[in-house]
Amino acid sequence: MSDVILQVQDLQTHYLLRDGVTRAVDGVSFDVRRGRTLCVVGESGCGKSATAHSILQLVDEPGKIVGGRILLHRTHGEQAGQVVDLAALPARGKQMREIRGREIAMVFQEPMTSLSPVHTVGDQVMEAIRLHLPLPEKQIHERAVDLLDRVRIPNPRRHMDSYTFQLSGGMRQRVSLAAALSCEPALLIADEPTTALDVTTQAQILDLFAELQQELDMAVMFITHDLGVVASIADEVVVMYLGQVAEQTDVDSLFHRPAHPYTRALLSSVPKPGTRTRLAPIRGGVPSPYDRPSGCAFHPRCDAMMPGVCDRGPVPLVDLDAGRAARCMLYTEEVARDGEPVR
Amino acid sequence: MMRFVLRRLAYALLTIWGVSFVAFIIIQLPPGDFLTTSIERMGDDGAVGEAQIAVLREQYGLDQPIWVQYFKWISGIVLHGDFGQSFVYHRPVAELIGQRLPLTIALSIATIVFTWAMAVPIGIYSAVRQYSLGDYAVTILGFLGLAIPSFLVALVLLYVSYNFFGQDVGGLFSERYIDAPWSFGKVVDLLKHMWIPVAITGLAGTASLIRVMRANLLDELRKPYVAAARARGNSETRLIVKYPVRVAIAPLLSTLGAVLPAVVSSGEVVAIVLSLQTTGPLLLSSLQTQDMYLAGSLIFAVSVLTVVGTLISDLMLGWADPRIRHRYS
Ligand SMILES: Nc1ncnc2c1ncn2[C@@H]1O[C@H](COP(=O)(O)OP(=O)(O)O)[C@@H](O)[C@H]1O
Ligand SMILES: [Mg+2]
Repeated sequence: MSDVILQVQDLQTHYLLRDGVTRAVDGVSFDVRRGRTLCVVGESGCGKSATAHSILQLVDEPGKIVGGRILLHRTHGEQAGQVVDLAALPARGKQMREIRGREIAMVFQEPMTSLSPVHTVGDQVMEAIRLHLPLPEKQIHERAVDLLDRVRIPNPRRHMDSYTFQLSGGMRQRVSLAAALSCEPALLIADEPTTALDVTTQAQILDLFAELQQELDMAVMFITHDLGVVASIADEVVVMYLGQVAEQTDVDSLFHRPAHPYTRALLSSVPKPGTRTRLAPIRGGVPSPYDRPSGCAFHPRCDAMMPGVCDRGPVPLVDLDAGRAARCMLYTEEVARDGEPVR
Repeated sequence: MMRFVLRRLAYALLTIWGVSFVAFIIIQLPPGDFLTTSIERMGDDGAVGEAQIAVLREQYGLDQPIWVQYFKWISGIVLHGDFGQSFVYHRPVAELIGQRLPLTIALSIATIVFTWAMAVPIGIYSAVRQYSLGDYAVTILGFLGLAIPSFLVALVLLYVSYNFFGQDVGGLFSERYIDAPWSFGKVVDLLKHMWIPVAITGLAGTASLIRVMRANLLDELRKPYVAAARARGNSETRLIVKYPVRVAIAPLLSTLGAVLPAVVSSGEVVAIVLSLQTTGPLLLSSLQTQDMYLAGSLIFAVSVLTVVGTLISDLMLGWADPRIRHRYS
């Protein structure tokens, strides 16, 4: 497993609010591997961003990582080859700053607001290089021009001096991508980078992601709520529900033999090309994080709900075949023995 | 940028032109023309020759239509720096203003610099450490600073220092420097005296600027571009100064121009209380004695100052915020 870049183990990130605690991330585990894309999917509010922000220690007040480990296999700097637990590092410390932008870079959702309105494109693309690589100014500039060229910004030299308000949403997201890739990070985290874009631009940006990942042999953690996006770029998939991993699978199994009823519900709520079946939106809404249902958090919306089983006690993440896993009572030994296995 | 600058300059000139009309109207406001007043006063001192009156009438174009009078007045100012005569002081207005206007300008600039030097760092601190003890302290002190009128602070300070320390904090110079020519010693003396009116005048402005800075910065700190900059590996201090502070300050720059008249007029109140040799007390007395050329010229000069201040703040805003600058190119 030398290809593993990042291991998230039982991560817990809570928002400590006045009226109670929101368990935004509640025991999430997954690995991200070099040259592979892990997609994290789930409805909005299920803790995808909180997970991503935890990895870089960017969780805003009143949020806090309260448990678990985030193991980074370092590839750069003095500690190359060692494993550090990011969850244990101080958020403002030197070590964390060395990792941010250098070994793990991030692209955010909103292309309109994730770049500074008063700094030039060049300034923001060159910043990470200046911070992390000891290069002469001229080379930094050339490298930034080259990066803009690689993310297909036309006339990159001229756009170095542009401001972001002069660019379209797609262009801005390319600039963000160029800035993120400027130090050739081992891991790129992208938090819904295409959600705010129109479909055509979205497709172009996804192609760009795939292409640059190949070139740089990066690990990518791609957050989305769009299963179409998952189909086009994922290798592995983590399906999240209310801060927990509902299902963990490879991308083919996700679409061809989804295990968790939530995954199935998600799949039948999006149109499939060539079929004319009616779309079935998932029943009910995501429960408020303040009153989590007891037992399986999904049971009030679940078609396969077993009264007396699913609504009490915590549900374990059950290992299935080939590295797949699902957090569902259907696959626990007792139920599988007594009832019909629904694999 | 060039187009932006030219455009702003044109606006400023237009405004000054408009202001000159207002000042001229103020001069014309008292009943009768000013020569009648003037002759009445001269008459008190002795007989005024018919010939002399005729010369004055000719000089100010009083027999001609009003726009000719305006033209003579404004071209006197622009071409010869001639603002007319003060009837009370029997001296050219230009001479009277020339002594005091630089002090008003110096005091106003010092007040604004003081305000910013205090408010920006404190505002940043209380935004970054929101809800900390320091933030609460700043908030409370800020409200006090806003609530207490500056003339009251000036009076209290005068009273306290006079009664308890036997020291007079009024004026801008020590006794021996008042009529002395400018020298290094006089400048030092001015700076020693100036901080008191500057601090008093700047108090309310500082308090409100802290509130605005804090609120603006709190908005900016939550924007994704801050998290994005953090995710690139910036240190917290560098990050905050380079990004959200820069963005939060830009709108404040545009208020500089608007702050200037407030500084000048509250500075006037303080100046009257502390009997400073600025334009404020002069304006008050000229209005009381209907010394209209002096009053009109003072209002004109202070208004021009405000327009120039606005121009400078617009240019700074254009420099700080590319979105403003690019709107015009
Ligand atoms: N700043 C915050 N304060 C309080 N609760 C928050 C904050 N940010 C996120 N949360 C809570 O954390 C949960 C997960 O949010 P998030 O990770 O943003 O979801 P996602 O990215 O999957 O849409 C949500 O229930 C949300 O209410
Ligand atoms: Mg999100």
